[in-house]
Order: sequence, then C-alpha cells, then structure tokens
Amino acid sequence: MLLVLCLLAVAVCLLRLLVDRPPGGTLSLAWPGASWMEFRRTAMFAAAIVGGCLGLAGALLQSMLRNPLASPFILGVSSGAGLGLMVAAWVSYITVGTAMTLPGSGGVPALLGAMLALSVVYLLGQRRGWPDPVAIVLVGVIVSTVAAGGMMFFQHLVPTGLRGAFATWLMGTIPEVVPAWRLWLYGSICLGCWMFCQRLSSQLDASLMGDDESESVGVPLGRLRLLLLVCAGALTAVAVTIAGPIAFVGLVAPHMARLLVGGRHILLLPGAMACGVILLVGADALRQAIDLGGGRMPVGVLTTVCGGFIFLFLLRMEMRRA
Amino acid sequence: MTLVVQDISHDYPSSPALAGVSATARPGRVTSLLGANASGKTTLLRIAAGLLSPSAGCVTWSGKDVGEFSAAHRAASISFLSQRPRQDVPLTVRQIIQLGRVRLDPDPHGAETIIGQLELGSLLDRPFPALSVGQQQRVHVARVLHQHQAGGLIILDEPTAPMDPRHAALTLQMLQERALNGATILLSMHDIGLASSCSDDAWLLDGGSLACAGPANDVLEPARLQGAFGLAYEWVERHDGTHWLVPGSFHNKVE
Repeated sequence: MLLVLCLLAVAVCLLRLLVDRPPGGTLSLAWPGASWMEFRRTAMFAAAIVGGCLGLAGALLQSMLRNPLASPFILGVSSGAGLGLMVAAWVSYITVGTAMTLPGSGGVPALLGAMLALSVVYLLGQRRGWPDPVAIVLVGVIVSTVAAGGMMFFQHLVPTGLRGAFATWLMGTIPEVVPAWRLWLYGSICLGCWMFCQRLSSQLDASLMGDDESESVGVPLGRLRLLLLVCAGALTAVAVTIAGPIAFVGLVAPHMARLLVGGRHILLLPGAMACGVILLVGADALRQAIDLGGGRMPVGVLTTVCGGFIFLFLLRMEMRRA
Repeated sequence: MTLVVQDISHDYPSSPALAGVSATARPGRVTSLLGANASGKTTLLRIAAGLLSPSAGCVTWSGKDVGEFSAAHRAASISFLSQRPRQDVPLTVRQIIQLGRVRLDPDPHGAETIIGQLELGSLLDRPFPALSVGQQQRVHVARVLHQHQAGGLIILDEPTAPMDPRHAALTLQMLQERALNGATILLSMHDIGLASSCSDDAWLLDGGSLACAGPANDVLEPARLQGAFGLAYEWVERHDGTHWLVPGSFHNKVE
C-alpha cells in the first residue's frame, strides 16, 4: 500500500505539470512549453516539499503527543513560524527599507517562531507532569490565535503596498518563482528529517504505549521528544517559509496514512509524507480549475475549507471514542 | 540479583506518598505488595523500576542504583507493567508484544511460547484498541514476559485486576514459573486471597509506611490486614486441606 501511495504521489505531481488553463481560457491537460514549464515545475516541487513536510510534521506531533488532533496548524506551530517571518520582514523593512521576499526566504526566523510556539504548547499543555491531550489542543489554539494576532499587528505596521503581499502570503500560496537552490535546501531538510526519524521508528512505536511503558522497554523518552520537537519545528518552518500557513494538511495526511498503511512508524512516516504530497499538490492542481472572479484561489483557502470539515469529523470521532 | 529498597520517601506537591520504606525482594521468589488505595503502592513500584526519582533514599538492583541505569540497561534488567497502560495504541497485538524487545535481541521462539501460554494466538492480528480491557492486560503481560531476560526483575502494578479468574490464575502461574527459573517478581495486588496463594513474600503498606515485610505467611495475618485495610479477614480451610484468606463480614469493619 505504501508503494501505491508513492506512485499516486508521483502521478499527482505529473498531473500538476499537465494542468493547463490560460487566463480567460478553458481547462485542459497539456505538456507545457519551456517557458511555462519552469513555473509549473517550481510550483510542483514547492507544493510537494510543503506537503511532505506538513504530513511528516503532523505524524511526528500526533505520535509525540499521543493526540490524534495534533497538527502544526492546530497547535499554533504554523502561526508561530509565520509570526517569526513577519517580525523578520518588518525588521528588514525598518532597518534596510525593503521587506524581504515572502514567500521563499526567512527560514531561520520561521524556525525560531515555530520552536517557540511548540515549546510553549508543550510546556503549558501538561497536567501533573504529563502532556494532556485536551490541554495541549486548548493551549495550541490560544497560541495560534495570539500568533495570528501578532501577524496582523506587524502587517498593520508595513506600508499599504507590502500589506497586500503579506495578506496573500497569509492565505497560504504555492509560489511559482523560488530560486532553485532554496528548493534544494528545503527539500534536503525535509528528506533529512524523514531519514533521521525513520531510524527512530521502532522507538516511536514504543512511545505510543505510554511514558512508563516506553521508558521501561528502553526508550529514552526525554531525548526522543526533544529530537521530534526540533524535527517537527524545522519541517513546519520550511513549509511556512515556502507557502505561508497551510491549514489541515498536517492533520489529515497522518490520518489517511494510518488508515492505509497502519500505525507502525516505519510505514506511517513515509506514508504521511506521500499523503501530504498527494493532498497539497492535488489541491494546487485543483485550484487551477477554480476561478470565482478574483483570479486563482490560494491553495490555503481550499485546504482550510475542506480541512475544517474533516477536523470536525475527527473531533466528533474522538469525542465518541472518549 | 536482589532488589533492595533503602529508606525510600517520596512527596508529591499536594501530599506525601511514602515515608522511610525499606525492604528486599529476592530472586526466585514472588513478592506481593499489598495496601489500601492511595497507600503508596504505585509510587513505590515506579521508584523500584527506576521510572520515578524518590525524594529520599535509593533503590538498588544487583548493587547498582536503578535511577542511574541507562535506558538500554534498564530494558535488559527490569520489565515493568504500569497500573493503567494506554488502551488506544494503534498497533496490532503481535506488534505490541514485539515492542517488549525493541532495544533487545529478537526472540521469536520465546514470544510464540508466551503467546500460547496466555492464549493470545487467535488475537495476534487484531487491532489492540478493539480488545476488551482484560484481553489488553494479557497482551501487556505477554509483552513484559517477552522483554524479561533470565535472572531479571519483573515489576507489575495490579496485573490481574481486569482479568477473569482463569486468566488471572494463568498469569500468576506463569510468574511463579519465571521465579522458579531465577527471576525476581514484585507485584501489587488487591486480592488478598490470590496474593496469599501465589506469593512467597509480602510487603504491606499502610498510609505510605511499611507496616510489615517478610514471608507471606507471616505478613498476611488477619489482625495485621484488618489494621491496614479496615476489614476483617479469616483463614478458611479448603477441601484439599490448604487454607485460603478471605474477607470476613463487613460488619466487622474497623470504625
């Protein structure tokens, strides 16, 4: 089933290259000419990296916190990374006079923002020294709201011209122009995190049993959690740096993968990445067909609307199970 | 290979849990830890397994402080089952049992034997959350026994509580067999009759202090149990001439 998922991810990436709808024209499938190919290939790779990062980050957070509702967006990690980027853009505007380009640059401030948000959620979401599923989601929602408020504040501080670019970025947009070296760098971080976490997959399996059980079978839980925290933060920072805060892919992709390949992390981690690629590249291909008068819809709008309903469904299932 | 608990005290932020507990569990013997609710049993077992640092005192296994064991050393020496393992682990029964040796060399033959003894063969490919609580507990016992290496320590917190009588007896019988092969077994229980029938030694906790420790027949005295539990116990003779400790009338409850 993992092989099928990987093949499907490749097929969706090819579809993204083929989907063609010139401004004012109709939708068709055609191999693009050299000039268009560059844009589509960049968008396809950017969406695949963001989808892979969010799928993997979601799987790591859900396992680390043993919480099926955990995801980079819901826990405020995406918003934290976004706030880091906004602060950096504002600082560059007041010091140099021009804001750095969004999306595509500012990985370090995004990482710092993501790690800060994740640390606050992890530390405040504990009850009697243990991560509490409900408390973590509640604290995550609050952190997400505060960070979103902070982003609006810094958006308010920049001139009107920049504000429009920031607003589009905040909706979650797959860029069609990103320097190749940046895509290579972000892709390498994504693959590096996956390869590192893949080596820990059996320890991740054991960590699902509970703190005492996993420590007693030899899992150094404190060290494992710290490593996963850093990886999830780095992956989210990469995703937000490229495309802005994209909602719900990090929540839904691990659930899809768990249904299709099972709960063992040796299959779940690559499965969640493949599902993330399928969801985001697929959504980016789908949005090419949607034009409601304001140009092509940002992919973040599509994932938020669809993902919101899926989140409600998962929440309902979780409440029934509890 | 002896477990030595030396003058252990532990305080939680809201209340003290243990005060000056000292006792020894020996290899080849099953030691039962008894006491009323909130008497400190779970805290003591977690400290003994090296999973909780005591406020004072220390626990040694084979002469070494368990709090200083590395994760891999602990996995090789001490197998532990907590009172309330998670029930929502998204793995199959077989995968959970295999996790017992996640840091040790695989032992497929040993696993098959344990699976057969605990009658889990028909459940192996079932999702763990789909099992009843009693079946889940048998899976965790199998995981703990699969992890255990010859001469090691096995600590279980109320392992038989959710099991039916037959599987509870089966589990205790397997633990006794491990003890005969040199293991040190320490387990907490609430069923005094079952504890008296399977234990070689017993520790009795009362309000966070050790009321008594020693051979089970000496510790499990009706008068002493009445002091610890507020409930009268009495020995009854079975048809085969052996004796069984049972609770007396609730009217004898200590005021």
